[in-house]
Amino acid sequence: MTRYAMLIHTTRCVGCFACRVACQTQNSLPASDSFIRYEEQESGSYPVVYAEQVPLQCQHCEDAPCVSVCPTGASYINNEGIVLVNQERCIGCKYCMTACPYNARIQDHRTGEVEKCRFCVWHDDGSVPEPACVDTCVTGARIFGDLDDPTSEVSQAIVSHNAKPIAAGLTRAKIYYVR
Amino acid sequence: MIWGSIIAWYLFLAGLAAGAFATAALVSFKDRGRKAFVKVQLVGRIVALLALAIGLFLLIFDAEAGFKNPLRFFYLLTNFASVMTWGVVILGVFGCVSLVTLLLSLLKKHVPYWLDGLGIAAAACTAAYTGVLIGVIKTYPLWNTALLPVLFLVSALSAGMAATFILSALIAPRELEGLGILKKLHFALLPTELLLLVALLYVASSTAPAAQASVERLVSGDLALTFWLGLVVAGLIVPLFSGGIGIGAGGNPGGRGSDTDGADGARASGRGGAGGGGRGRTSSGIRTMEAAGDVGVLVGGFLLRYLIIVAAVPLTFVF
Repeated sequence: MTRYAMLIHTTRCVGCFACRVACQTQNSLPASDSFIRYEEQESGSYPVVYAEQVPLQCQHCEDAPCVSVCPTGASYINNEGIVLVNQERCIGCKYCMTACPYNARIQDHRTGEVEKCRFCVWHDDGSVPEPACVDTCVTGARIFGDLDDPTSEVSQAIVSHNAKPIAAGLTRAKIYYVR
Repeated sequence: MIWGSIIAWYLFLAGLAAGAFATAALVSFKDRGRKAFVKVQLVGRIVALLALAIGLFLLIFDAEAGFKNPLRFFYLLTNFASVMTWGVVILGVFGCVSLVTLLLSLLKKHVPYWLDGLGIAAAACTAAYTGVLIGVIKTYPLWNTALLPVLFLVSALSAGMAATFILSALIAPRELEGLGILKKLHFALLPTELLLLVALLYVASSTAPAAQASVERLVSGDLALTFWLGLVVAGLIVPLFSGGIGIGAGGNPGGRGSDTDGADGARASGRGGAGGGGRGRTSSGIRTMEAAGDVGVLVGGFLLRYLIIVAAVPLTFVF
């Protein structure tokens, strides 16, 4: 089995937002819409303070609330563990958008349909796809790969950095963060 | 904000429809085929179907992709893990019963009690489902409590009764005179709603920081003016006073008779003609005040849903 996952190394992220631009280009999104958004987190206390950019996108949850609430079955998880939207079935009710705790879904107002990060699978031609955000990241803060393959770069990086989902125990997310 | 005022209007109108239907059905049960309250029943049934139709149109309009490709709505019956799918089934049953009973009423036929019973069950499901729909969403801890469907259910009946009573007061004031027991029920819903609202806000604010932030927005933040003046004062306190005074006036020896002979009272006052002061007449001042209270209930019913929708702060920002 293949279970695609991603690791985001927020301590390496410089906040250049290149991943968002690459994603928008890859997915032909207008400038106002994006599958990747950022939360700035502050930590520490004066005078030792830190600010980190936390890029957020679809976490490809194994226990995905968007899939269970979708009334038309448009939201689904494919056999590689990627959460997808079947655009032909989406009525744009936005129930999935309210159910997503990561606020990772957007509505395309050109079609009314709801969309989100797809790990760039749709241009997969049999080879392992490399999502545009991973491909473009200047500092190498993103790693993409197969969680079920213990020798994959992403699996090893998760172990060596003790990376964790953004919110422990929320939805069994498959994007791991090093913070 | 993902869902906004359109969805708040839908939640309100679906609840209003359920409440108006239940009011008509309860009046029919009380009438027992004597045809003393035909107009109030008709008003309730018309309000129910009309509110439901407008609400459903808003819902479809808000579902942009479905609005552009209507055939996709057939997929709505595919995922029974979704509350929205159950909602579609419930709305289907409620809509059908609502339409059939309205047609029977318009044809001056007696609506079978079993059909009204089924309708009340479907109406209760409709009103409660609007709360369950958003209550299962863990992203917004303000919604994610079991109290919400109960609060929406009570508020729905309250709003449905208010709408039916306002219109009946204009069309068939004398029929309304005989419905003291429903007026008392209508009144009793207000303190119940207030209690549920306080409990919801109190319990929710102790569950998660996001819910606490939502409650703060309502009670002392940017939504405080609408919350206190619109929902609490106009929607609950004013109707409590006007309803209380109305019931007090109705209970006077010179007022309408006891509830058991309410129907006879209504007919008696009908024969009494325009002389005024006869048995079962409420003064126009009190009637105006009761109507004002009912308008307040409707305003409060909408604001309750609107405020709960817009005040909700998602978990996202407090990881």
